[in-house]
Amino acid sequence: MSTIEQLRERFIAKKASATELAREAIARAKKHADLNAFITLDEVGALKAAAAVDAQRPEGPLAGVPVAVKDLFMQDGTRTTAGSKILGDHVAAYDATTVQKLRAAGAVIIGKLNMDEFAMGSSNENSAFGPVKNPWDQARTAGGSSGGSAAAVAARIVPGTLGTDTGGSIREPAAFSGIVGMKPTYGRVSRYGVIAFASSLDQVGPFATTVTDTAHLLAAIAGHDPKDSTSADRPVPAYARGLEDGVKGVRLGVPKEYFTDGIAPDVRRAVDAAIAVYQKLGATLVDVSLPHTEHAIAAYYLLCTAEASSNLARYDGVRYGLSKGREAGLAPMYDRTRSEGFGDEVKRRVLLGTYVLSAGYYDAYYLKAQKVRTLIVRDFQKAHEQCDALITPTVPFTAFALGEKTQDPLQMYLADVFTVSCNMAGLPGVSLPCGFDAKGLPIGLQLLGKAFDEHALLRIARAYERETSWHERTPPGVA
Amino acid sequence: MKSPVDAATVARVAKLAHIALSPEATEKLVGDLQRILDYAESLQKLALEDVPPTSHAVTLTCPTRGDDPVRDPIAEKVLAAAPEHEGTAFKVPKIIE
Repeated sequence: MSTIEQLRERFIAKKASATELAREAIARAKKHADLNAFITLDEVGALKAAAAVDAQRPEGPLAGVPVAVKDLFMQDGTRTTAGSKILGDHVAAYDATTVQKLRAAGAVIIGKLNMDEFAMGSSNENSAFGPVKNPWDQARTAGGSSGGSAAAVAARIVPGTLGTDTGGSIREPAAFSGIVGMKPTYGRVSRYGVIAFASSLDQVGPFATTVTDTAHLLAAIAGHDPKDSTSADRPVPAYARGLEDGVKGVRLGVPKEYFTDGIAPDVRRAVDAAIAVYQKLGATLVDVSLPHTEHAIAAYYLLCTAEASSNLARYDGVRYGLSKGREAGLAPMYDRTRSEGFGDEVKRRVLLGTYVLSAGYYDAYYLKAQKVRTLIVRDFQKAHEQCDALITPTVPFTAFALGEKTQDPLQMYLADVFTVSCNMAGLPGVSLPCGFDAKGLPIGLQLLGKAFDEHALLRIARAYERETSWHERTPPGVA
Repeated sequence: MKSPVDAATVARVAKLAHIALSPEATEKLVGDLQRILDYAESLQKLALEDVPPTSHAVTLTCPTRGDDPVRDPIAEKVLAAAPEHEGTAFKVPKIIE
């Protein structure tokens, strides 16, 4: 397969039609069906959309390019499940703003990607449609919650996908799958039509095989949306421009709390080597501290479950989705619909969130977690006064085996230790490939930037990518 | 504040959340929630009295728009996707005898 830029070029030069490009992508999706990356492969809809693109001959940044979106994005007339049995047969009645923007940029959406149920998970094992397998080793997770979005790009089925990141759900699967994944600043991309998990933390972002392609996707989806009151009314830079400007004089902060003993030795070595590459390229290193990192996971899981318990109250069997036990009356209908429709992790989080918001526990848990969030925001403000971006591992380890952490929810939550703080502070972050461990599994390097400074983050990421070739490697059996 | 979680706590919260649980599921959740809350105990050690809470990392404003009537073309599709509807209303089980 090729990059977004190369496929667009083929379309613009009339060397391939959007229909041909979509057919090729669909064939690759079928060839790699064993990865379980797609919940719905929309062959009919994709070919219809491709025919329209061929008729219109758009010239946008994604002209003719096949893409796919996490099954959390509303796509008019297409099944949209959020990876849940409770929305198993739900057909969206409208488009998410980001879906419209992909189309407006000339892209063809070929399907809806597998994910942890309601984006709750770090391994895609909470999907009602089965786990996604990692293209590098099918016995392992591709990461979560946007596991399908990562696997589809890693297996070169499509050159770009969209996911969402509430506590690392783009960056962690990107790291585990050896590709680039970016969580933009909170408010940079519209959330309209994206099924909510934790509204103060959720953000839409792109996956791609290269930094430049990531920039093209971000440019296509970013911007103010009157339909999302939390979207930022700020100009959108031309993200794909100036990416080759290098990092001479750029100050990179190395937070000591992200380089603890708990990091796998191969991950530590790869990230240290990446830091050395930046030094060679003229970046300055600054030692910084994010002292409240050790409390981030606890605060994050109290906040996100509280928000989830409220957001998921809407799945009650009345307006959409599964509806069970109607004959027994209203309250039994709620109980049965939710009991049969939600999976174990969603139930666990809804109950935890209900608990921390309930009378007698609100001050002890929810309010304290909100105060810790303030401290984490301040940590980043102080650190960013000293540097342009922070450099860290994305995850302390590489992709773990399917089943390894499913019995212990707390162990699963700890996979997010280096990613959740960025969401609580609302900042942009990107994960990019920086090596492989002894088992041949990809390692992710994370860069965390200042609010609305995605452009600098992409330029810094591109400087490293240009010096290395990790992003050119493909999983076994993937051309 | 150490908060022991027992089956009665889980049952109370499950009732609030409208989720029916089997005895086995309740037992498993007692252990899971207890472990997670034990882990979160670390927050109790922090001096937070003078720290304001943060609900959103960005300052939110409430934008307004003109009071212009718009005929929403999706209403019919939304209704059609409902488990049961009548006319322009979602239908729910009878709650008043």
